[in-house]
Amino acid sequence: MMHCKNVVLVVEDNALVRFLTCELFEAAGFVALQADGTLAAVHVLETRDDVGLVVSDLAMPSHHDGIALVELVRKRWRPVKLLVITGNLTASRCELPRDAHLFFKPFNDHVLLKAAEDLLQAA
Amino acid sequence: MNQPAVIHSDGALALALALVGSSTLPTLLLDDQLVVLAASMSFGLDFDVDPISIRGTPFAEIAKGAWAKPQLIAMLKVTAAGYAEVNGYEVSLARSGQETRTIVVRAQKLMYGDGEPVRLMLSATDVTDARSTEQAKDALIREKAVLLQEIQHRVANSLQIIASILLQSARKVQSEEARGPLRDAHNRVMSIAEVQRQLAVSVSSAVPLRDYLSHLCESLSASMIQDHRRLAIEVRVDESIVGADASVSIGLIVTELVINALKHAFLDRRHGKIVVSYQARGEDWTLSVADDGVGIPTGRAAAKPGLGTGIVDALAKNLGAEISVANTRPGTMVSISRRAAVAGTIVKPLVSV
Repeated sequence: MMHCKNVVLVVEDNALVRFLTCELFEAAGFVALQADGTLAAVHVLETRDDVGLVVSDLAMPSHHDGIALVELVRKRWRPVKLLVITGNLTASRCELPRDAHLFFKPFNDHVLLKAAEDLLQAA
Repeated sequence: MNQPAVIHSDGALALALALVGSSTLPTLLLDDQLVVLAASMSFGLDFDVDPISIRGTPFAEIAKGAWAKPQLIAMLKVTAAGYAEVNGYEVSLARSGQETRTIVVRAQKLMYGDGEPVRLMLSATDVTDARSTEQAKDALIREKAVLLQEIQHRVANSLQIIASILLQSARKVQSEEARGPLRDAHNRVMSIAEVQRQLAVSVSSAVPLRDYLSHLCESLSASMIQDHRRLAIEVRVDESIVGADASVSIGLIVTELVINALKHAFLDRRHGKIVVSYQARGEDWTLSVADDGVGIPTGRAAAKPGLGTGIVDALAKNLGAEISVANTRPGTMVSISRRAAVAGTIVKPLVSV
C-alpha cells in the first residue's frame, strides 16, 4: 500500500477546530482530509489508501472514543502515523501507543507542523 | 448517713427493664434463646413494633422473620455463649409493604454476675438515610469532576480556535506590517493558554515558574525563530511557585520583551542569545530579559511606544514592580523588579494638604 507523503486525516468533533486545523495543514502544503468522529475516520481509511498521518482529537465525544480510534488505526493500518491532540490537560501519555505524539490544546502550530513533517518523512 | 441504696431483685429487674425501655438507641434485651425480654420505645418507633407486646417473641420471628438473617442469628448465638460480640453488622431489613432499610446491629453479652441468666443487649441503628446522603454526595462530587473536565475541554477548544483564527488571519494578510500584530497577538494568547495548562496539572492553584517560562520560551522560539542554530532563548528561573494572576502577568511581560528583542536586537543577523531570568528572595523578585544584540541606539528612550510597551508598563504596575533598562554592551537588559519595601511606598495614599 503506497502512502502519499503528505495526505493528512484530521479527526475532530468540533467543526470550527476541525476546519481551522485543516486550513493550517493545507496552508503548509499538505492535503487535509476531514472526519468528525471515529466512524467517519474509519470510512476514510477504508476507502483511501494514501493517508499518511492521522491527526486526532482524543475526546470525541468521550475520551475513550479517541483512544479507541488510535488503537484501531494502530491495529488495522500499521504504516499510518499518529498525532494525538487533547483538550484534557491532565491526559497522560501512557494510554497511547508509544509512537503516537501527544499535543495539548492549544497547540503551537509550528511545533505541530514540524512533528507532522518529521513523522511523514520517517520511513 | 447516706448508704448506697440496696435495690431488691424485683426492683433491679424493674430498673433494668426501665433502662432498656427508655434507651434512645433502639435496643432489645434478649435471653440465651434469643427471645426478646424487653424492647426500647425507640426500637418500637423505628421498626414499627409494640415494645410491650414484643416481649416473649423470638428475635427471629419479629416482623414475620424480617430480622432472621442466618449469619446474624449465628453470630448472636456465639455472642450469647460468651465467645464474641457483634460489632456493627449490617443487615438489609426487608419488610412487606416497606422499603428495604440498611440497619447496623450491635450486640454483646451482659456481664453482670456469675451464675446469672444470660442476657444479650442488642442495638439496631437505621443508617439508610445517612448512607444515601453519602452516596448522593459521592455522586455529586463525581458529577462535578466530570463537569470540570468538560469546562477545561471547552476552554482548551476556545483558546485553540482563537489562536488558530489569529494565525489564519496573519496568513491571509498581504503586508508584513499587518501580519506582525496578528502574530504577536497569537503569541500572547499562547502565553495565557500555557498558564491554563500549568494550573490544570498543578496540585495547588499556583504555577511553577521554571516549568511555565521554559514551555513559554520553547513555544516562542518555535514560532519566531527560523534558524535555531543562530538564535536561542535560555531560561534561568529558580524554584519559585507563583499565583495564577501573577503568572499570567509575568508570562505576558516575557512574551512582549522576547518579541521586542527578536524584532530589534538582531537586525544584522549575527548569532544571538536571549536570556530570560527570574529570581526571588522572600517577597522581592526580579524578572529580566537580556539579549546580546545591537543594544539601544543612543538618544532613544527606553522603548518605542506601541502596544508592546504599554502592556509591559501596565503589567509591571499591576505587579507592584519597577522597570529598568540597561545597556549591557553588547545588548540590552530589561529588568522588572519588585522590592516589597519600595512597593509599600508606592501604594501609600497621598496626604492631602
